[in-house]
Amino acid sequence: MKKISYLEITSLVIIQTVTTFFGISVSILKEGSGINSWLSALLSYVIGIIPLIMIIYISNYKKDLKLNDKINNLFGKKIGFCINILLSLLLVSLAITLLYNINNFILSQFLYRTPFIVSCSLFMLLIIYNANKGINVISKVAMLLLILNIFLYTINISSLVQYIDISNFYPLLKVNTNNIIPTAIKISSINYLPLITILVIPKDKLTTPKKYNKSLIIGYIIGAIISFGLVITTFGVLGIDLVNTFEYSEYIVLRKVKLLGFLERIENIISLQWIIGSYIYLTVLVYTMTKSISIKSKKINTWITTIIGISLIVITLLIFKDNTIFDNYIRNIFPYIISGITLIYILLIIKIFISKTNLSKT
Amino acid sequence: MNKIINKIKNETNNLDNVIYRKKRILYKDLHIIYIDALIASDKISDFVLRSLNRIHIPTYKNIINKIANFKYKELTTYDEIIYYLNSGFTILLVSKNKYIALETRRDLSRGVSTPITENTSRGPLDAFTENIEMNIGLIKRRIKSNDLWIKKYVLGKYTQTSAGLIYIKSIANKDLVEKVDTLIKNIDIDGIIGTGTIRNLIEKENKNFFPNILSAEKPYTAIKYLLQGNVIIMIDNDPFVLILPSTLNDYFISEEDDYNKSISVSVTRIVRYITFAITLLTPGIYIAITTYNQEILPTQLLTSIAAQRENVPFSTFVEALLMILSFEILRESDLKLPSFASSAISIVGALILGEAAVSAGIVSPIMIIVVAITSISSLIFVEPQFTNALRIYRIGFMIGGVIFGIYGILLMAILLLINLVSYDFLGIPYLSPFAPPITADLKDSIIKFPTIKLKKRNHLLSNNITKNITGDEYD
Amino acid sequence: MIKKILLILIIFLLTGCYDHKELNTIAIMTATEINKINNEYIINVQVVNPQSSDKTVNVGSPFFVYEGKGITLHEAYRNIKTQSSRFLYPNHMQLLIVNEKLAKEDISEIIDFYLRIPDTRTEFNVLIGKSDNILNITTPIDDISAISILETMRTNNKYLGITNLVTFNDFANMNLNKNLEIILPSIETVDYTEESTTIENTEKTEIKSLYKLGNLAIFKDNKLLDYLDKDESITYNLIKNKVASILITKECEKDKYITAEATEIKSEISTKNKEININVKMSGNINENMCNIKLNNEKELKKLEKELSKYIKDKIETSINNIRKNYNSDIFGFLDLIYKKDYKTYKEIKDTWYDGEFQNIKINIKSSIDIIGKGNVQEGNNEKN
Repeated sequence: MKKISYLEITSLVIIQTVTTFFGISVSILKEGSGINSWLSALLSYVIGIIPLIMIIYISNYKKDLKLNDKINNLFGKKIGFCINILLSLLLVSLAITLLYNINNFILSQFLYRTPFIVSCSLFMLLIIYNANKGINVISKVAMLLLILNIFLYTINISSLVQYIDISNFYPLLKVNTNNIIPTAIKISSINYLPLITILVIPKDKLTTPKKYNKSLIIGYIIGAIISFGLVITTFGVLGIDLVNTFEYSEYIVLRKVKLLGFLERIENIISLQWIIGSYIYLTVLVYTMTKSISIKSKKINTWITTIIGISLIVITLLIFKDNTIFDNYIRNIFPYIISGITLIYILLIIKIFISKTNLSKT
Repeated sequence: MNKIINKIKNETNNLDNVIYRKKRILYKDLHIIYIDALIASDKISDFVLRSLNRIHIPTYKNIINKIANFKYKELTTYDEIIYYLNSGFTILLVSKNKYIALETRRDLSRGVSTPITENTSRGPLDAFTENIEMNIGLIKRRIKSNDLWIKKYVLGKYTQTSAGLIYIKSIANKDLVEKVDTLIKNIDIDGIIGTGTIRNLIEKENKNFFPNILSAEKPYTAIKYLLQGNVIIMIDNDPFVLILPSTLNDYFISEEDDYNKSISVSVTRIVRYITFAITLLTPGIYIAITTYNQEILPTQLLTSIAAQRENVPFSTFVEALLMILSFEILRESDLKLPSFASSAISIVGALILGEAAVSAGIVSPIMIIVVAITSISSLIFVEPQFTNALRIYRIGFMIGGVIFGIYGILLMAILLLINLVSYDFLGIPYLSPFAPPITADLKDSIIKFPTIKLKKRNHLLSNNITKNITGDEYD
Repeated sequence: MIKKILLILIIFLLTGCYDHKELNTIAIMTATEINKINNEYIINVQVVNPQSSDKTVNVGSPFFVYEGKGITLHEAYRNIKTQSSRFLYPNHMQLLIVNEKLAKEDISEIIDFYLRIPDTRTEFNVLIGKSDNILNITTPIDDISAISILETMRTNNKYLGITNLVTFNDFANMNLNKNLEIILPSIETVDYTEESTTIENTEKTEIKSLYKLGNLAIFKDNKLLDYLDKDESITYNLIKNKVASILITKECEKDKYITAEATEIKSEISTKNKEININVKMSGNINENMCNIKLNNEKELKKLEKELSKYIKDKIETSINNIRKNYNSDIFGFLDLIYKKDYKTYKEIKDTWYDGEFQNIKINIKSSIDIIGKGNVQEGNNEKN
């Protein structure tokens, strides 16, 4: 069996924790805590440690099994199948959000006249192609693309830091203070609960399983630093009024980027980071869903992946008929749906705990 | 024995070239058969006939004992006789099922000469020849160790080409050798004409456009890879050897790198990787920028490009395709023409064609620049298969650019990346030192570390990891 | 194999290259001038003539100006397509000039359009046009007038400090932030005739007609009130840290002047106990000295520094007080400052801000100048006097 290097896990974690900020978390932040967004973001990193610890705990149970096999092993075939399906359904809500978000962005900023289904299906085609190649290829592609992404993040953040106006963060903790903690919880559940998908890679599949925890934590920290940089630059450069005005303020702020004094107008290139991030995230999600409906035959798996991909497009088209529905969805419905993953975490941990105590008794 | 002679005569349709002689020693007739075209006549007269003259008791053992040829082979079957006869051996038919083949081959190959395809400014200048024995000699000369193992094969139903699998036993991975061994053994084909046939039979051709097998003309290159743990396939009648498996990074390494300091090598490598990106992406990005993402260019540059394109009737994509096509035609004709005519004709053709096309308003001057930089960049890669793969993906990027602009380029890049990552040949991932990251080889990829710090081999290629402990005692 | 071919076919069928636009099908738009007459927008759009960058053949003027009319801005832009053979490409727009007649009515109504459409970058600059048809004038050296104007603004801002560059995002921010008032640079034409729109205008050594940058335009409640004078403009830029260098010319004797060029200007503005503190620090060179001030004398230099500092302080003080008295518009963002730094006071005074609070708030100004260089001359050269 081919092994996965710990760097690949780290890059998956970074991409998963940063990508959701674009369009989704920032939108919740500016609506929820407005000028105190930086504090909400900071708090969400603290809250996010809880799912991270849970993931590390779960990963230590039967180190050679994938997430779905772990569930099947713990709960038996029937209940396990139900839980797997439940997890997939929860992940579908995230997948359609990401899919609509990124395609809506592409169509509103790059390709104004292209129909949604065209850009969406080409994007999905690549996702299905990659997901069929297995987690090995996904993680390696993620690692290589992350190099490009980190380069873009660095340009993004470092060239915007000089435009940050500290007064844009004032008044400190005077307005909108009630919403800081609820927003932080919302964001951290969006950003960090779906990290459960990282468990698709069993701990033993690493070249150095010892570094598993370390790579998760490093990925988490780097992801937090990058996403905090994005929040700070967006809110600090534009100011709360403009941030609230634009749909994709994270993108608008990139128009200010000026590299080496002459490279300007490169916002479209820098914003490729979001497309790359969403692409990798979606691939991981589609792969996880395919594995949840666990069938050993490879050919059928290919079909399942294809069906999942197509049905994601169909669901997206059916649910999100326009922007307004999407905005309402991510602000009012999505955080609650996604926090349903907590249930799975808790179920898994309780069951593992019980089985461990049983083992130690006998 | 007459039966054998008759059979040969029958099968060869009484060919004049096959010469049958009889030599009587004491009571016994010895039959001597050889093919005129393949043997050296002095060898026959010097060794075979003269030594036979000295033999008084014509027993099989005595003949073998007394014969003066430096190489002989004891044969038992008819098939063997035919093989050695056709390889330029002289056959002695002693008695039933006791035949001897004596080496009397005429030297049909040219001598060791300088390489034609690989230019080097420093380093040894000898190249492989068409003679497999000589080629093995060239390698053996450089590796004076018992660990240099050679497996021999005879391939091809009619050509009966001899081939060799060469590796250093204590370095090369056993699995790898076995895998290559079975791959070669499974070959069942009418004729092996050159390394190209064997390469296409071994390589999974259609899965990856990029080559997995490196071909080398110089023993220097072959030795270098042998010492890394790669294996080499050698074929008689072909001055190129095959090195396998190769990874993407191998195509960025050249022999000169060994003669330069690590910093200057690193700079050259970075330039090579940039060139790789340029030759792949430039036409695609140009199309993407000028037909979709015009906002990226500064206003002055955009207006000047727009001015140049003002009178061009084609779309940018078609324009680029036309220019790339005409470059390919030029290159192809350049290859076919004899060398004294080619450079003059191609330069004149290119200059006149380019100049005239611009002034006639068929293409814009900037497109000439784009195609020129693309083509020049593609020329730094010597392996033709690599350049061909680049050409295919270049057109892919152009299509991506014309469909979705910069976004299409990104999608195409992801596709290329998936293909490269997912492909592995004989257990070695194609993007090997990068994904999965292998520290030992990463030190000799985009950045080259000083040779004293390159202490280890790629663990996928070799079980014997340590290769260099120079300077360790001073630490 | 068939599957793959089908797939590729589908890709090609799906994509009709919807957004494909060749360079010779677009008209690159560099600037827009907006006016409103009788409830109808009239826009002048400047479009680059790409052939003009080929200097070998005479192909007409470097740019063209189209006029469009419509009840909304979008409609006005669309109506241009009835005249232009090409698709207007707005992504390279550099300037937006709003005519003062429209600005006097209500400038905020144009903001929404430019924020909403994705294909204009919101980083272009906004100006108030004091006269009509500014974009029509041909300009020498930089032959596309929008770029010429932009460069003039940059130089002016850098060396004179009268005008400043306001991008559309800043402008929108001033409009959206309830505590800020709008302030914009202005531009006007000089000696505008029919001839100024022809290419001959730039072919003489004496340029007859040109644009000229004006002083800053002050707004209140999105309506243009008036233009500041030169000193007030400089003061605004000075306080807002929007200037790289200014000239300070002070009368030292009767009809004799001394000129200092201040660089490295840094101003801080803070609030405490319902008071605004402004601290302006700069360092500079003496570039002209008509009086006989001995600059290499430590004492005289210190004295001069002190005098100059006081001079600057007085200028700033009078300018601020004039603005407060004449326009009652908080362009300096004092209320925003109080809102951000002193939320408690803000709640007290926000309702009565323009009913006296703004007029009466105490403003403490500190200024200091360090004279670093005095040019190539050692001391005063008017020894005869």
